[in-house]
Amino acid sequence: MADDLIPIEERLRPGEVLDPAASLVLRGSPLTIDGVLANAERTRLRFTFGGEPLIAISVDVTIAGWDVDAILARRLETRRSYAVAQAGDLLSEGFLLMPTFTAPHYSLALPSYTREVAAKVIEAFGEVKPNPRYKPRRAS
Amino acid sequence: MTSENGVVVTIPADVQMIDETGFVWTFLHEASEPERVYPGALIVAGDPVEPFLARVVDIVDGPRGTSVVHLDVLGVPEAMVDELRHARLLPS
Repeated sequence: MADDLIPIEERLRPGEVLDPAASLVLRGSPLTIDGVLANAERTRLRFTFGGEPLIAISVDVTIAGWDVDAILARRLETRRSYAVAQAGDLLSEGFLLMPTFTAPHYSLALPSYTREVAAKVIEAFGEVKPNPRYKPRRAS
Repeated sequence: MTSENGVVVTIPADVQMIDETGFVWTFLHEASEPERVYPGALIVAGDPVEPFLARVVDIVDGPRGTSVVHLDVLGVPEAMVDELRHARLLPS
């Protein structure tokens, strides 16, 4: 039942082509199973994909006008650390990347809502790195 | 939502989770004290491990009788504490 949920197909950015070999996918900290599940739960309570509740988390992707530094500075400046994965690696793991809402936001769709899948997401992102653009203080 | 370090966030949210408004969104029913969440309110949101400061932009109807809260991310709490100390509104 999808009743009054919003089809994510209506929120896709038309014409945007992802380069699986070049595009990088960023996710800010804390990267935890509970965090992934909380994000996915909100999404599936509000949006659908193919008529079914959408199980997805929000990520940011390097696309035209958005390199890693721009994403860290403008989208993840409140995150102490982040992890990055190549888009092609996530796709080959069975995840789906959809350009949704405002760039550089993407929805990373998961095959199911389980702790095992959430752990697989975290594993796919790999090493957590400090965010050099984290802003704990105001600029003096 | 409270963490082991005692930090309480007024409303759980994910700083990367935006919708068509371009603002971060979350559900009002996740707030432990929803009366603290109203348009214009300055709140601590996110995850107790890494909270962020936000201003409530609006609260709109969501699916199945829920309410969706839009948040404008202002920065990290330490920045506000730093500013309040600079203004001598907090002891340094």
